[in-house]
Order: sequence, then C-alpha cells, then structure tokens
Amino acid sequence: MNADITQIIVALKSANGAVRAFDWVIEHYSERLYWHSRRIVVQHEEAEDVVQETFVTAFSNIGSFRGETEGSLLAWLYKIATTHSLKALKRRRRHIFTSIDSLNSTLIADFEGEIAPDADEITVKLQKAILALPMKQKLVFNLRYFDELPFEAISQITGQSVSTLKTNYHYAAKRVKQLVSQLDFE
Amino acid sequence: MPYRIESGAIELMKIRTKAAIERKAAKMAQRKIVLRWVAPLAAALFAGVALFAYIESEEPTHYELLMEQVADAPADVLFEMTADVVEYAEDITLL
Repeated sequence: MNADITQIIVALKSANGAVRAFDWVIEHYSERLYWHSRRIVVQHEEAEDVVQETFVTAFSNIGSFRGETEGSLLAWLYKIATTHSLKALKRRRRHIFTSIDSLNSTLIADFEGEIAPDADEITVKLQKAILALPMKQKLVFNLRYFDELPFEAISQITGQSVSTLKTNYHYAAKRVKQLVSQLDFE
Repeated sequence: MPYRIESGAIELMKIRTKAAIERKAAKMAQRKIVLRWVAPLAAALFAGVALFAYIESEEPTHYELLMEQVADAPADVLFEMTADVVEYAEDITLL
C-alpha cells in the first residue's frame, strides 16, 4: 500500500499518468470525502457536488501539492473538501441572509428529511447534536471522531494549532454529550 | 451513518467525478495547445505594431516639412520662401 501510494503520488504530478492516477485516488478516497462533506452540508446532491469540485480543484492544482505520503495527500484533499463544503454553506447563507453558525437550525431541519429509514435512534440524536455545534467545533469533532484523523492532520486541514483543536474537541465532546442527553428528555 | 443514501450512489458519484476529471484534462490540454500558438503569434503581432508605431512616430524630414508648406502656399509666400535662394527676383519665373 505504502509503495503503491508513493508511485501514485509521483504519477499524479506527471504529465502523462495524472488522469489514471486520479482515477485511483477517486476510487479510494471519494467515499471518505463524501461522508466528510455530507456531515457538513447534509444534503446528498450538495455533498456529491463538493466531492466533484474537490477532485477537479486537486487535479488543476496538483503542482502546488508538495507532500509525498498518503497522510499528506489525504490532509490536502480533506482541506479542499472542507473549503468547498463551507463555500456551499456560504452560498446557502447568502440566500437566507444569516451567519454560517445560524444555519444550524436549517441543517437540522434538512437532516430530518435526510434520515435513513433504518437509522437507529442514538445515531440520529448524535448527528443532531453535532449539527448544533459551532462550525469550528463541528469540524474538529467530525474529523477526529468519525474520520479518526490525528490532531496534526486536522491542524493541516483547518489551519488551527493543535492545542486550539484539542480545546475545541474537548468542548465539542462535552456539548455533544449534553445535547444528546437533552434530546433524550424531549 | 444515519443519512439516507440510495444504493449505488457512491459508485455513480465516482463515475461522474472521473468523467469530470477527463473533461478538465481535455480542456487543459486544449488550452496548452492554444497557448503554444497564441503566445508566439501575439508576440509577433505586438512586435509588428510596435515597429509600425515607431515608424509612424518618426519626425518628418526638413524636405517633407518644406513640401507641406509649399503645397498650398500662395505665390507671395513662395516668393518669400525662395527669396534667400534666388539671387534676382526675375529668376522666380524660372521656378
């Protein structure tokens, strides 16, 4: 796997093999990026657009990618996907003239219509609690809890220091616990 | 994940994304070809325009100025202009 990814990264930057190397990257990382984006934008179509924009942006800007490891490639792709997800939310915000954090109630309402029929109650409550978090806390919580990324990688993605991220994660986890227990009483 | 997603949606997304990359690659290749031709052509055109502008901006020669003045000048002015090169007034009829 490690040898493969090194060859893939070399191919990504080459003039001839880039498209085929991107096929490999799309095949392997699309799903992770899709769920990362879906947890931010909630709607399927929007998350799908974000994934497509992410790869097209990555393809157009591969020359600016300096990494050589799978971790750095993933962090780079996550960063682009996060940027496009936030842009998608900002576009929505422009329509309803509110701040990105005050979109939370809209996102929770959207989520109500996007719940899988076989979803269990606790994961639904957890998701609602996460959607109610401020964006910075939401991002670090999702990237750490669901994507299991190290804080150093999250730092590369969000541009925040590791200590700030740890603090945000701590508050996010505390708030999620609190919100889930509140939702239990509703 | 508790989100609703149709079966096969991820695979369909991958196919669409790969197609988008191919379109982007084709567009970038096309732009490269256009740039390969357009850049030298633009440079040649610019050089031509610059040369033309340089030639056009050159100041008229003394002869050209004199010819301009002579073209529509009345006879008395012509006499004044040529007085210093013609020794006798009657020589003016020879001009």
